[in-house]
Amino acid sequence: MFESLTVVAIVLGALGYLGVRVSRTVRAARTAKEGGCGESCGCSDT
Amino acid sequence: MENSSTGSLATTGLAPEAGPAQLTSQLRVALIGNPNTGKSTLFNALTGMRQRVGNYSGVTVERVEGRYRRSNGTAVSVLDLPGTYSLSATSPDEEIALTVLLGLAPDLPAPDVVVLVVDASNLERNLFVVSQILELGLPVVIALNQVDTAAAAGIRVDSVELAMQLQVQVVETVATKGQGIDVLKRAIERASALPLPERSFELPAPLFRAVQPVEAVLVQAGFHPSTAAMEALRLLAIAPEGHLAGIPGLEGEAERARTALEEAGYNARAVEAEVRYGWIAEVVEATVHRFGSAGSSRTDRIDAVLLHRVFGPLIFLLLMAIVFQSIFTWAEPLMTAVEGLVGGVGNLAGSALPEGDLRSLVVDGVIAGVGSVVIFLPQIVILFLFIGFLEATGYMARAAFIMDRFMRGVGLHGRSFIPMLSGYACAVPGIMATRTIENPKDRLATIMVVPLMSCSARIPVYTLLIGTFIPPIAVAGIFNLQGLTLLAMYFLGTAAALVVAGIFKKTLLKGPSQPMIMELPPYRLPNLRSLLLTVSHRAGLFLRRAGTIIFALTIVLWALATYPKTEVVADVTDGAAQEQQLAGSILGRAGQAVEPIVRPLGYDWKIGVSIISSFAAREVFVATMGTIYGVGSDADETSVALREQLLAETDAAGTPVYTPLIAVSLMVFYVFAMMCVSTNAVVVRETGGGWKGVKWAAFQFLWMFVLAYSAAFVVYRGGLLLGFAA
Ligand SMILES: Nc1nc2c(ncn2[C@@H]2O[C@H](COP(=O)(O)OP(=O)(O)O)[C@@H](O)[C@H]2O)c(=O)[nH]1
Repeated sequence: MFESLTVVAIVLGALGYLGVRVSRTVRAARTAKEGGCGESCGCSDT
Repeated sequence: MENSSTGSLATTGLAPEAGPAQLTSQLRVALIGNPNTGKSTLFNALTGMRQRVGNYSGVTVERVEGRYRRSNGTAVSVLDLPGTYSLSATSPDEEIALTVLLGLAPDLPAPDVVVLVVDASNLERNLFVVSQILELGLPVVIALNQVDTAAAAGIRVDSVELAMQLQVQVVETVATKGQGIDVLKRAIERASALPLPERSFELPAPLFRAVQPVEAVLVQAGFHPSTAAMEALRLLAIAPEGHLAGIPGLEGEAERARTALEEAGYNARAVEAEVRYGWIAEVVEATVHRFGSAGSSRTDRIDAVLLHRVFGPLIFLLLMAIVFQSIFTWAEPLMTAVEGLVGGVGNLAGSALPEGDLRSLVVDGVIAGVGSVVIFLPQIVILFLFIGFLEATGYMARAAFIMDRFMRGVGLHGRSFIPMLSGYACAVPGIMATRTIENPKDRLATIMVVPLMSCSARIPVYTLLIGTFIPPIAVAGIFNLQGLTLLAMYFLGTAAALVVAGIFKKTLLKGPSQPMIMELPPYRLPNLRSLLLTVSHRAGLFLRRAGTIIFALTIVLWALATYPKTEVVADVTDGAAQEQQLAGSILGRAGQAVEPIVRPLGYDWKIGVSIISSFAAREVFVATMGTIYGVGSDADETSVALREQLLAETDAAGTPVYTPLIAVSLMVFYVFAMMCVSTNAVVVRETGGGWKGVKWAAFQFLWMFVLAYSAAFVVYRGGLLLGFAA
């Protein structure tokens, strides 16, 4: 029981994190503002 | 003396900040200069802030700010403006630089002092932008940088005479060694107390008469008279765009001025360059002394070989072959070590956690998935050590020169090369670097093809497949097949980029292309510290990504590969049970649904699913395979490396599922396919944002996907016809 809850929590956490990243990327693309590649879109190299 | 920060544009209302900077308040300094003058290095020396030092733009396109403290304790903020050869054109970089200097940038007041970084070994070319900025009515200090390089090339610039000629302070610096920085700081302190520089040449009478009305309109619109004079000259060659857009009557007067000049026998578009270079020639004559030419002749002798029409490209290819080969030979032991480490961590976690879903999540999902990506760190480090080394010695600029010949062959602007070169690291900065391209069609054509350059996210995919399926056979004695295969993938991407760009330039984005003035810096020994800094920066980004996005993705993938649970028939072996379980999961079902699409390429559903998840980012392919094989293998063999599992995978009849032919076809797919959400987002933004941007990004995604699929199909089917084993 406890284990299942932990697993569900972790998976939901990961989904939430990815959701935040995606929405940030989308927002950066929409506002067409100046922006770096570092944190905002997560490319592997600058 | 009035401080100039209010001077240039007091009445437009666009520059809300007003009032001279008090001595107690913060002093704002802007750094500007040609690319490659050492601006970033000087910025670091002034502010002590760590920033990447490299030869290629994309770095300084960003707004980079730092600060230092004065002896009286107050702060000086330093803004690093984009490197630019002139302010005459309307590229986004130049527009940004000019708007900031004029105090028209939103949320950025005009700088109190401008530090113009000038390369002493290239004074003539550097003085163009200097002559323009001297007219902006701002206090200026010249940092005469790279005096050591100049001396080595047999050039001495008389800085006292230069100061006399330009009527501003000139400080000699060697940014890499920190020489002259203190003097520069003192000069910055003094600058606003000195008379403002102004134009120190006179216009020929017809030109003077022609631009008068244009200047009047600009002054009317609130421009400082000196700035107006500078803008009026600029306007002879360009349309009033950017910060000049919408000034009533401006374009009309500019057009009249152009006509008047043409009637007087001038070429209106070239006249600004003519008068400025006329003045520059006088300044250079008075200040530059050449003695001997020992240094430059050494560079010349090396270049005679490296830039040879025939040997140049050959040497370039040879160098690249060596680089790619070393990725395999040198990285192998390191990679095995990291692999062992990952396996050890997996076993440790496996024994620490009780059997169950949580253990499976940690061991089969996260450790197997993230681990399969992280083990490629050695390859990334070695590749960037090499590239950084070649860049720092000055060879990469030669490579650009060699490539320029081929680029012009397809009608691409020479400036496109730098974004394309950045694309080898990552398409995102590559696409942002296209801001230096003025012509919108050239810029679009470049944006369209930059993602074809093999970026570092493809390295895990290539090296996994090559290391596993391509035998390390010696070729022609010194080469080996693995390195050559990797070289072939890079070559394929680059060649495709050129060909596709050529097609775009001849159809959708037709238009003339301009030649580029390319500078070839003298060869020099690389600075070990900045080389290591660059490499560790890239390695850090790679690891950060593995620890964030890829980490989260593997958790989700694990869940998709685990649920829903299937009832397994009791009397099968452990391995078969896992296999059934996997096939019944959401991921397994999705895979079987897409299998018909990838079947013609020879791929099974596991590859199909990995391709789909790698739409997020290419290296997720490897992570997905890692997770699939982590979940799909029975619990005892958690530490078996992905490479061995791929080799061992057989179908029901016992024949291997993955063959060298499939590996090659898959790599070809990844050469062409646009699988990177970050790049999609940047393309949307850089092609205009909104719907327009979305359409361009979708178009790019589609043509790249079609190309990728067709090429992979041709490779696989062609290979079969030629008798390679399926
Ligand atoms: N010898 C020498 N090299 C310099 C000096 N300043 C910068 N460099 C080198 O010139 C190259 C370009 O410098 P960078 O700061 O990236 O130039 P930027 O493009 O103007 O920002 C780098 O390899 C620096 O190490 C200098 O004063 N002397």
